[in-house]
Amino acid sequence: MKALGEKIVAAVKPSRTVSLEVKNISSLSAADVETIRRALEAEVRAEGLRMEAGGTDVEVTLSENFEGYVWVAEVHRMEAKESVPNVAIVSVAKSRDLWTEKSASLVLSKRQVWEQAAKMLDFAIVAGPSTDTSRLVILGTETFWFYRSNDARWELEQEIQIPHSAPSPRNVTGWIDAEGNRAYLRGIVCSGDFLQPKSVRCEPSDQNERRPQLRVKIQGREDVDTAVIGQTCRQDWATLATATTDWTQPDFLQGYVSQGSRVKESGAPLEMDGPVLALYPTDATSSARVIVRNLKTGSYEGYIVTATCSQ
Amino acid sequence: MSRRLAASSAVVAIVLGVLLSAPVGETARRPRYGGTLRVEIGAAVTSLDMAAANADEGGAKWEINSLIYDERAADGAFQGAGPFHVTGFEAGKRVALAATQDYRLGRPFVDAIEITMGRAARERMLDLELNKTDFAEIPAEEARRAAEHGVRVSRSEPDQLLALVFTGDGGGTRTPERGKPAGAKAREALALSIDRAAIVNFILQKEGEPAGGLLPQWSSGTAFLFSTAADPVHAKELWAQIVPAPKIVLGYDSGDSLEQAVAERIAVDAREAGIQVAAEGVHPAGATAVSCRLVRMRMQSKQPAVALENFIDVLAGSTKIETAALPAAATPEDVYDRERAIVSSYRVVPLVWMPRVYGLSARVRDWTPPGPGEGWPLADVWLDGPVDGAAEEGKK
Repeated sequence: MKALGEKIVAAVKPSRTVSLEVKNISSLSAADVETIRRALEAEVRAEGLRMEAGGTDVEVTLSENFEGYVWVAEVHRMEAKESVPNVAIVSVAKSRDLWTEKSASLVLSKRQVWEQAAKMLDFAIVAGPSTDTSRLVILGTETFWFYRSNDARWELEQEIQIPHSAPSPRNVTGWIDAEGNRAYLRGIVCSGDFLQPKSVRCEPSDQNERRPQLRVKIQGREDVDTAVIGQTCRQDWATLATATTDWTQPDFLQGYVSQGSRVKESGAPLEMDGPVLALYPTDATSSARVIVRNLKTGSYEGYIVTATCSQ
Repeated sequence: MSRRLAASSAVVAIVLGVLLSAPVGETARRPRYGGTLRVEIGAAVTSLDMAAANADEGGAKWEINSLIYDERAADGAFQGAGPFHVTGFEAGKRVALAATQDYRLGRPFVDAIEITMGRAARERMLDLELNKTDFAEIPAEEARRAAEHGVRVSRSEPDQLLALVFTGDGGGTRTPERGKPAGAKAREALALSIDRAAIVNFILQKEGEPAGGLLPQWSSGTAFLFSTAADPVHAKELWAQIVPAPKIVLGYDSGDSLEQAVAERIAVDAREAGIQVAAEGVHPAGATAVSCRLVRMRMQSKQPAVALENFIDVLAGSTKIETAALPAAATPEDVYDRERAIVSSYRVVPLVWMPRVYGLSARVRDWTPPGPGEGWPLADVWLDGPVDGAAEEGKK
């Protein structure tokens, strides 16, 4: 917002008054557009401009492309002879928390932890004694990456090439047991101290790479992936489940809670930008690790999805 | 099994009435291995050597190579063993590919791909309708008709630009009887006379979108800044100022029915604005002198800066445009400014954005249309239902 405000101020100079119009051609909701309009007006005022009819016309279009939002300000300066307006553009990342629930039920929110072009099978954050010693570990099909926390950013610390004694299937799966300092994928186990990446070795193993997990039977949706994430609402057990779409469609996660012996849908679904490729409960209660292949960008994205109880 | 899971599993099984199952089994939406994917293409590829590509078979050859090689080097050359390897090749007729068992990124789901070459669009559509093929590219303008005939249709984002490009210095080398080079005013007049919406609605059967800039809206987010509206009144005014009025010869690929229809439509629009335009079929590799010609350009990346750079490289060979490279970390404004500068010269007149359209049989699963610069992702496709010699997951 600040960046666009500053660009508008620079473009309208020497005028000190502007007439601002905001147009939406993106997927933003009317409520979001109103919030943005107010924030932009406040920003422009903070920069010392007055909002007045008859001021320099500034037309802001809230647009978007495959990566995110694109906000464009067209400044029509009265004294300028050319018909093409002065244009200022800023790219804005899409909000990561797109949905909140108001009724008493499970509220799902997502936080993106990682995004990469290479295929990602699982990820985990391994907490160290202090924040700056935490590690983000990413399990790919060919590489096991270790990132170290540094000033709120993840910096690559080490990557381990995963040996393959046999060809992998196309839909290879793998998972990380952060508590046990182990990662599994077809025929390979990586083990060591995940806080000391140099100690980690990936070697062939007979151990099954699939994650043992609880499976919930949801009537009518027997084929979907599920993850039991623990007790959330009034001690009810909460479960997340994917949609029934295949891997060509955007997916969503739906929350369920147990009621007696029944499993009941709870709250609104949380939409994802692509198919959910993996869904695992985290070691913390009420959350799950989710791997999504973003259909717009083609990237693999890792999210922590958390369920809270809205009363 | 972790301690946490082990401790909680029994409780959960009772409380939820859940089925405790470890590991989780494969589900119906998960892929299966086996079968032969039948593909039909229009081009009759005579060699898989990219160095020997010609205009008629280059695109198809590129797609086949993207299946048998792993990646492209910085110079664009294919390299590394890909998901499939060639098991049979009859020049101009068929290519047989088999899954590479030890492919770096995992064995493809299908066992083999059988590509039949030299199938005309009408034959491909018919074979899709009769379930004689699993996968074929369909001309964008035929997509609606294909869907009406029950063909399962898949579209990419519109990433192919059809544009009018004024050759050389605005007119190129031509004989005196073909008129003088079209100057800036003449180019602008012709650009303003074109009804792009009519091209999309009637010729492309609404399969595509009018183009005002060199990047589509889904990629740049700024395409709306470029007008696509026709302005025949202004076009007429501009044309009236040119004395003597030149005659514009508009060339199109004589073997391309879509280009012919668009060229003739442009000539009609131009005539309504008083502009003399003659549409003339030419061979793509020929040296026929024309004032301008229709050009199809496919985006090589979804990233706006990369796609624009590539277009500039392509266009620089046929027309005069500013060719300075974009800054290394080009901002959206840098990209827009460059795009605006080229479009404002009217040496390149964007007309329409077209998607790539594919017809699929009912048994093809997990197909996603490729993005710009990507080959057909057939290694990710699997075949549903009974397949010959099918093997379930794990077959190696």
